[in-house]
Amino acid sequence: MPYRLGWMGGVAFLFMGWLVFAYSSEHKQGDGKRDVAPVENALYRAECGSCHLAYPPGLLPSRSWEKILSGLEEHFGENAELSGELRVELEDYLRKHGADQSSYRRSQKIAASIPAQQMPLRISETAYFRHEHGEHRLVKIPGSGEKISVSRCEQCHPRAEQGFFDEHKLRISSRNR
Amino acid sequence: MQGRSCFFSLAWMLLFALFLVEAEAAVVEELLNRYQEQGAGPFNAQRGERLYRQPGTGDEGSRCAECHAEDPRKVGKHVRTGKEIAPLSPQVNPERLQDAAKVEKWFLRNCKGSLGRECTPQEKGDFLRYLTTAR
Repeated sequence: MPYRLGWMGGVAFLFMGWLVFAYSSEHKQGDGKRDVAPVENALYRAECGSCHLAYPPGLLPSRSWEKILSGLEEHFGENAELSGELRVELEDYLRKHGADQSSYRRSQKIAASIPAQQMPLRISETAYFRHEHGEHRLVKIPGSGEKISVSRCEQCHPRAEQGFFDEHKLRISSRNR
Repeated sequence: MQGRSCFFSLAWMLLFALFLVEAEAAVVEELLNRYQEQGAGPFNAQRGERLYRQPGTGDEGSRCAECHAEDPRKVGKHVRTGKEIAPLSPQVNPERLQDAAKVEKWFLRNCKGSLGRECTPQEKGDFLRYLTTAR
């Protein structure tokens, strides 16, 4: 039955093509196109992203995220408490996607820059962040000239939540610091 | 033909908007009933507005209106992070007050932050009255 074989062959061919595509696109993400893994958890985006950028979890090691979640009642001067259920789910997500668990280049660099006994609560405290941004804690936005905290990644890295921190797409230069 | 499909999509959008408004009304009613069962009521929009504008006394030290805009129908801005906050008023933002648990979660967080304590059922009811009627 040549007709039937041809049909099944076609399906098999398409499936193999899809496999190759899926593998290569995943691979591409891991080897430098993205700097860190994108935020892919809807609960995290909703719960944490209401007040600030939903920071990609690959920007801090898992132990830092655990410490942050254990002190949400006093979260950088704000009350951000969560019900036990939600917290458990977020803890699971953050623990699995911390910088020290990631295969992404920048996450690995961040993780490597933190001494094993340290649990920084701010991304801007890490040695790798300081190496990249200098000691500045405020940066000027071009145009308005408004000075903002370095914690507002998205102001200069518009695709931060998707994991892109590429310097070629930076909105400001070091002159603005 | 095109006019007809345009009419249908408009009709669907209208239906959806009506559905959201209905859902909001139901959620607010459910919450107000709950607060009444806890001994509160009747609720007053003016008292709600006063609460919205009163100076913060908690650790965060901020008033509701500081982050959520003086007019709750406008886009607000988080005082610390600068992140834009969609309007709080369900009259311009149909996504607001659609989920009782979400409303309670934010009352808990923000009352503790701004006032240093949880809000009473009376305060929460007044606040909802204000949000649903402020024009």
